[in-house]
Amino acid sequence: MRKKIVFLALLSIFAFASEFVKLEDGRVIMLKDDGRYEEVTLINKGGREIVLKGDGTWEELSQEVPVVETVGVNSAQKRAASSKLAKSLIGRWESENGAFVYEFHPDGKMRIKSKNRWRSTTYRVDDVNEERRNIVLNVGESSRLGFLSIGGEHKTLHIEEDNRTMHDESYRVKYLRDLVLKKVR
Amino acid sequence: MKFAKLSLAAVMAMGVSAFADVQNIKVTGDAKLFYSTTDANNGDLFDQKSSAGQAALDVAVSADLADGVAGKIGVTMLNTLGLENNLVSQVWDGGLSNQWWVSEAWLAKKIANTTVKVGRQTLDTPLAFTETWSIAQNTFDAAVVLNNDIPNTTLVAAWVGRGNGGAGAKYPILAGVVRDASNGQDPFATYSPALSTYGQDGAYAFGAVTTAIPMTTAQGWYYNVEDVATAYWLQADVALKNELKGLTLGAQYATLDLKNAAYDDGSIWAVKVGYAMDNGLSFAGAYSSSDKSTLGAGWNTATGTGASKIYTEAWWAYGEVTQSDTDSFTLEAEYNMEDVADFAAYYTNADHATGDDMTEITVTASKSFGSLETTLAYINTDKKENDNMVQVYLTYNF
Repeated sequence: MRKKIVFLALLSIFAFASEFVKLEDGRVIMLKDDGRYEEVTLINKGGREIVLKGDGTWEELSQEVPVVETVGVNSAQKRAASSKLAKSLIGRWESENGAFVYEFHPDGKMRIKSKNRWRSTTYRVDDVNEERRNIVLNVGESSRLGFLSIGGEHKTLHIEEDNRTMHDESYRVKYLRDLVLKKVR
Repeated sequence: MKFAKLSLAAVMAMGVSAFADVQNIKVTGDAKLFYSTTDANNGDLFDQKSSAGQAALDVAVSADLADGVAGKIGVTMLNTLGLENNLVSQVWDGGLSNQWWVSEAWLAKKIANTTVKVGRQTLDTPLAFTETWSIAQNTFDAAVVLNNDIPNTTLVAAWVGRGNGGAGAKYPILAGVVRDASNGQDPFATYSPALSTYGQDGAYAFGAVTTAIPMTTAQGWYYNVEDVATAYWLQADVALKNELKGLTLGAQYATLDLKNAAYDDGSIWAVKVGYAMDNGLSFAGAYSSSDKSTLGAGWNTATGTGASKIYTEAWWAYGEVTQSDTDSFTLEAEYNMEDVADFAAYYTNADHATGDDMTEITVTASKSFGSLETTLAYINTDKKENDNMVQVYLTYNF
């Protein structure tokens, strides 16, 4: 009987904790039994954490609200964008014959020159593999639906050890040529 | 109830972890509406009888899968939107009926300096390539191996089993880049429609592209269309940026050796000089000459459109400059006003030893409105008669 009480107590704590989660942007969400969810307000009163619900009621929490990650998107992107390899992108990269130019700006904007035609677009670092020195760049994304990126293209770029030589792996797979760009500034 | 909810959460977590190896999922596509009208054959511009129109939808999903494998699958759909009821009498490509097909479905894996790409894919080689000028593009069932073990050099080996390359323009098809996929029929058949009367067992291509020579991109390719033909392509492009920034020179040479003893083999050479300024203005001039043969040389063996990567290729009238015993030259000027519009003018002359010579003048204006790309083209072709053509290209990218 004692074991059963302890088990149910632990289960209720665990289950209770799962009702409230904190998103990475700070919002607190209450997961309801009927499958719906609701954004609530979390306040701290005298060391106690209290949730203010939309229906005018409140509830004291017995433990800290767990922070959850938005699956596969924000946290990974934050880590990728802050990597040293990704930061080495900023600047102007040119192919030897000048036919291709990639210009990366710190504000997420970039200019691409291809076959003497310039276009302005946006970029975001979606993934970085430091070991292989590969960066997956999300160029020209128009919208995002959860983990689905819509519009534009993903470019896989390989940066050599010198941090001044780049190979556009996506171009290679599509056009069967090794597009090499050198950092000129 | 809470226990049940936890179980569901666990199942969801398991589901998420199962997809954890699928990353960088990208959904892309475009919707196109192309229109063309001509006064050829005693027709009138904008008259239904002398106009073509069609809509297309391309949707593709690409992703990085487990173990470093990348993949993509894409679908192309063609639809007349009922334009044939009162505005047009031709379609651009495929067939008159609504149709769809899987245009891309490939996996690629890189191991050390070697990349293997297998499946339905686009190809960009000089004598077997995907044409992107029409409303639909031809693709290939192929396996490609790329290797970069030699510094500054890419080695390519490709096997092409099938393609959906069309037989070229033939009423009521204006472009004919792809085969008809109406009524669910498989448009992927033998390799080359232009050579299909002989039957094929696929084609092989081997190439090397190198930048080992300073300022120069050199490439050499060998093709073997089984039991039908072999072909070579040599090309060197030099960027003389130390002498004059923006100045480029190029030279090409291509052959087509047919297995049929009754046919004469063909070859073509071409040279080009170009100059591009930092302000977006660029000029180019090119000259080509083909020797006397049965089928000419240098054209895309994957379709019957006659399109080629020869420097002198016309903007619209493909197949003229690569014909047998033909001397051609082209002049072009392009002006890219970044974030404003692009303007271009092209002049091509093909002087045939036999048959009517061809002269083409094309003027284009292109502008992007956010995700919508628009191009307006005017084409004047002088051959047996003097024809005018107006085309409108609308492409919405998403």
